[in-house]
Amino acid sequence: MQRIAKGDGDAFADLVRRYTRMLYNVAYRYNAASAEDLVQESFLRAFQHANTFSGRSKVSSWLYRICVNVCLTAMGRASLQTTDIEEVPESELTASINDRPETRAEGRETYKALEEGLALLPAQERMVFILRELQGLAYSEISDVLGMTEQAARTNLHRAKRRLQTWLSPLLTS
Amino acid sequence: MECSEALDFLYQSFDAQLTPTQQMLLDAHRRTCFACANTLTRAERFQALLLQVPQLAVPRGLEDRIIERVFAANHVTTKRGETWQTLVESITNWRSFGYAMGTAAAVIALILISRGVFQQSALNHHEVPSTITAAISGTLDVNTASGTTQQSGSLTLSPGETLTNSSDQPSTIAISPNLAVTIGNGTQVKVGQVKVDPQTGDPNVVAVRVDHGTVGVRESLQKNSGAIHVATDQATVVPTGTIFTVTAAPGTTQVAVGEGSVAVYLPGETFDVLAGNEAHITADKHTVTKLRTGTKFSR
Repeated sequence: MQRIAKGDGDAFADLVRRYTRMLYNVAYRYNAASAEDLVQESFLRAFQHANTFSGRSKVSSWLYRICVNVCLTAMGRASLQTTDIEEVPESELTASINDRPETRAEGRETYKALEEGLALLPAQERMVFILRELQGLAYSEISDVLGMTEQAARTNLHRAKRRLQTWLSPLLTS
Repeated sequence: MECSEALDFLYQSFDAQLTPTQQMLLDAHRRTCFACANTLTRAERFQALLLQVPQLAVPRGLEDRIIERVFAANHVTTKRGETWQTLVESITNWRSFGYAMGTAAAVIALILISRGVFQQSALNHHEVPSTITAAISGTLDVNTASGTTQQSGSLTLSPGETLTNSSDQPSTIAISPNLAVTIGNGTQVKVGQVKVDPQTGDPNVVAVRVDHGTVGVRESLQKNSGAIHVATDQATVVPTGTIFTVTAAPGTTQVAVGEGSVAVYLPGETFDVLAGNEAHITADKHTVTKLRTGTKFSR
């Protein structure tokens, strides 16, 4: 990171090649349509603020934090276009997913349904879920990345799981 | 155990957070509560599903696009565009002729080394002639049909006139903020075609023939690429472009050159970076080394 802070292009290229997949997976699960833009913006900020990396956390945690901020900022801009899953009655969640062909399919369609459900989660819950369940971060690292207590991370995760479980209920029952 | 607790206990069990006692309570509740048993089964299926969610592959070329975007975003032409323009407009000397140029800060200017060789027919276009008024440093003798005058400060480039630098110093003609032509001392050139964009006033084509001596061309390829044609008896030379990156970071600047050449102006010092090399500049020193393997340039 010190080399990047000094403008070392090769060091930055190494960073990009090492961590693009990690950030892309976070950004895609958070907002598939804008994933590439979110990742690019994340690395742009990482490059421009490399001198602020103190070394107290892992590079991956630092990058996660940047990516999360980029995603949440983008979410703020697009908030009027999203629907909170809490605002959708459970009966409608079940009915809507029953109406979709994914209900009768498995594999990729199931993941697609999961992504649709993720998109309806409140931003913070969505991010905790992504980091914990899809990226495999420890609660302590999630706490560091998101700036919340480990207990708060657990609470957010459990809420997210409850909502997603409801969303996917027809698939899980079958 | 309350039903409302059962699911939380199950989630905690996925994280291996349950004590043996809590696990016993959960198991007992599951055996006796049909509703919770179904919910917990779905939760376990959900957890199993999550374990199978694949990691996504990175779209082809994304890493390169990220690197290019970040380099471009930190490029001198965007971060220091104003400084760049000011420098280009004010350049009056050129290091290739033995002049050093001081600037208040380390700024980068582009000097293009012409490499493309074109046919001499580039001078034989049948286009409406035009003129360009340009600032010059030093003096030039301008010979037209009506006689010879010595010009300094500015001159009007017109087709057919002859420019002679009879002084002992080079003279630079600042044709536009993006294009400057330096006429070496003892050099004589003829002005060929001059064509100006009627909308912007920028030169589309400026053709000069070198009778003898040396002409240097410095062209910023932000626009007007290829505007200058320099001809000799053997060839016409047109800039075909230069590709470079400038990365600015606190306390350091990196200049990597893929094609062409750039001149780097430092306070009291100027040096060139040729294609295939990169310069690392700090407040107290600079070094030029070969480009490292894998360095890429956006086109």
